[in-house]
Amino acid sequence: MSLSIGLFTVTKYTFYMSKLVTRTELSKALGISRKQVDIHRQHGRIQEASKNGRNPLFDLDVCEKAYREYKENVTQKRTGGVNKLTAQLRKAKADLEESELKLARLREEIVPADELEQTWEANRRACLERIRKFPAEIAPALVSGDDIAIAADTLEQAMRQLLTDLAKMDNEEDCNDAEEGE
Amino acid sequence: MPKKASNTETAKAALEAIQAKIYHSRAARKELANQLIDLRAFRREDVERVLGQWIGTAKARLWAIPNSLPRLLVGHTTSDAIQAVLSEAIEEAAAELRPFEATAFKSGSIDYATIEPDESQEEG
Repeated sequence: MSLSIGLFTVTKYTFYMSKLVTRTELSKALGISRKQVDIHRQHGRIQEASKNGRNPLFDLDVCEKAYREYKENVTQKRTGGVNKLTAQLRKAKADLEESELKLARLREEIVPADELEQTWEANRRACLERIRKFPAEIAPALVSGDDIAIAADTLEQAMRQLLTDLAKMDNEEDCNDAEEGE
Repeated sequence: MPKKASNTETAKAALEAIQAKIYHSRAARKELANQLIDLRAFRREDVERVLGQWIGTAKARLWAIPNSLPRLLVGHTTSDAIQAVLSEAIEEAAAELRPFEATAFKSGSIDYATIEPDESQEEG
C-alpha cells in the first residue's frame, strides 16, 4: 500500500487526512539521521502509522508533534524549566547594570587633565603671590633686632598668619568649585 | 494587518537593545581608560596624593623658617637685607608648589578602568 500527500488514509479505526512519509523523509523533516529515527521508534517516541511493504510509513504531523514534545521535555529537564532567552535577557540586564556602575564610578573618579592644569595653575599663582609678599611684610619688624627668640616669635606669628591665609584661599577655591558645580 | 510580535521576538529585540547598551557602556569605559593611559585624564586619588605631597612639603619648609632663620636675620640693619634672606628661604618653599606636569599624576594602576578579559570574550 503506497500512500502519499493529501490522500485519505483508511485505518482500522479512524478516518483522517495526513501526510505519510518514509523513514528518510521523516529524518529530513526532523533534521535528524535515519538511525536516530530508528532509535526514537525503538523507544516509542515515534510510531509508524502504516507500512509500504516492509518499509514503515510515518504520519509526519504526529511525528513532528511527538518529536517537538520530546525535545521540549529534554530541554526542560536540562535547564530546570528555565527559558534560555529569559535567562540571557536577565544576564544581559545584570551585565549592563554592572558596566554602567563601573562607568559611573570611573567618571566620578577621574579628572580631565586640562581642567586640573587650569585649576592647579590658578591656585598655585595665587599662593605664590601671597607667599612672596611675606618677606616685605615681616622685614620691617625684624630690622635691627638682636634677640633671636624675639625674631623667632615674630616670624612664627607671621608664618601662622601666612598659612592661615593660604588655607583660606584654598577653602575659597573649594567653595568656588562647589558653586560652579551647582 | 501587521503580524503581532511573539513573546520570543519581543524578548530577542529587548536582548539586542540591552546588548547594544552594554557595548556603548564598555566603549565609554574604554575611552576613559585610554584617557588615563595617555594622560588626558587622571584619577582623583592620584591627583590628591601628588598635590598633597607638594603642598605638604611646601608647608613644612615654610614652618621651618621661624626655627632656622632667626640666627641669620638678627643684626641686619636694613629691611632689604632681611628681605633678601627671607626671600631665599621663601623661594625654596615656593619651589615645592610645582608647575603642572602631567607625568607626575600618572596612575600606577588602571585596573577597573580597563575591560576585563572575560567581558571582551563575551563581546566576541
